[in-house]
Amino acid sequence: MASYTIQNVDDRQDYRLILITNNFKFLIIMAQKTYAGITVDVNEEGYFTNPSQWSKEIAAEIAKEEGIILTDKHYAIIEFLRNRHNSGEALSIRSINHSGVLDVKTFYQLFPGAPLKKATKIAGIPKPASCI
Amino acid sequence: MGNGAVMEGIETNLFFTFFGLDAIIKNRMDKLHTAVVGNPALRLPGGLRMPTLLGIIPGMESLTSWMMKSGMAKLDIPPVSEFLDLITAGGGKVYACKLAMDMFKFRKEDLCEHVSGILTVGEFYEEAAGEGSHIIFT
Repeated sequence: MASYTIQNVDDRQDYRLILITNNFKFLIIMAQKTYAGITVDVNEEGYFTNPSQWSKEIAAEIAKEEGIILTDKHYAIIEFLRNRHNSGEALSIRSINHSGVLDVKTFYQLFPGAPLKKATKIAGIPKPASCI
Repeated sequence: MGNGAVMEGIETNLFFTFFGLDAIIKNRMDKLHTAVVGNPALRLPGGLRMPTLLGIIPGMESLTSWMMKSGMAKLDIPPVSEFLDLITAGGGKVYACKLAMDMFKFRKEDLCEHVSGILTVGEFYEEAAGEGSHIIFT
């Protein structure tokens, strides 16, 4: 889902759509980023707003920004995350145990720090709204 | 809250004391009950306040605990032992309170495998010292 922020419209160049009412101008920000020579739509946190624009090459570049070199194991879990997102299932750290690809401990090792946030960003899908 | 912190990449240490110890005692952790007396958050189905006296009816505590557990399962909230699996898998540390251990006469062997050690409250505060640290009591 795209995020909406109200700001002074005249200061921004990266908008797509402006809604103007009597008193306010609403700016819907849909920033863009270029990975592997392809321009993709992202929200202000860098998460894809259109997961179909994603590719493996793009993933490798986002991962590099996060300081991660992708291996086959990374790609396997990224594929699991994308499939789960596409089928409309909620993502949680617990669901990694059901992936059949790796366990939670390895997941933390592959994406150090905040693995679910990093992995979904690299996988080109929205940031999960999960507490677990 | 501990698991949430680990998920955010925040260094996390959990300290279990007093009746909170039950959550890290091997044969009790997955059999925790919901308090039916003196629990201000408890509501009857439909949202009416649960009169405290109803809590003393035999079976009420089991029924309430069962409802709580099935509600948690519906939201995909794991049982306590699995929660501790997730926390320790992410590098979170779990400690037991020495005084509470002594008071309830628990031994080290009674604790689950997730526990890294038994600390005095002072030792835990040392663990939590340093700039940018927060201690959260729940």
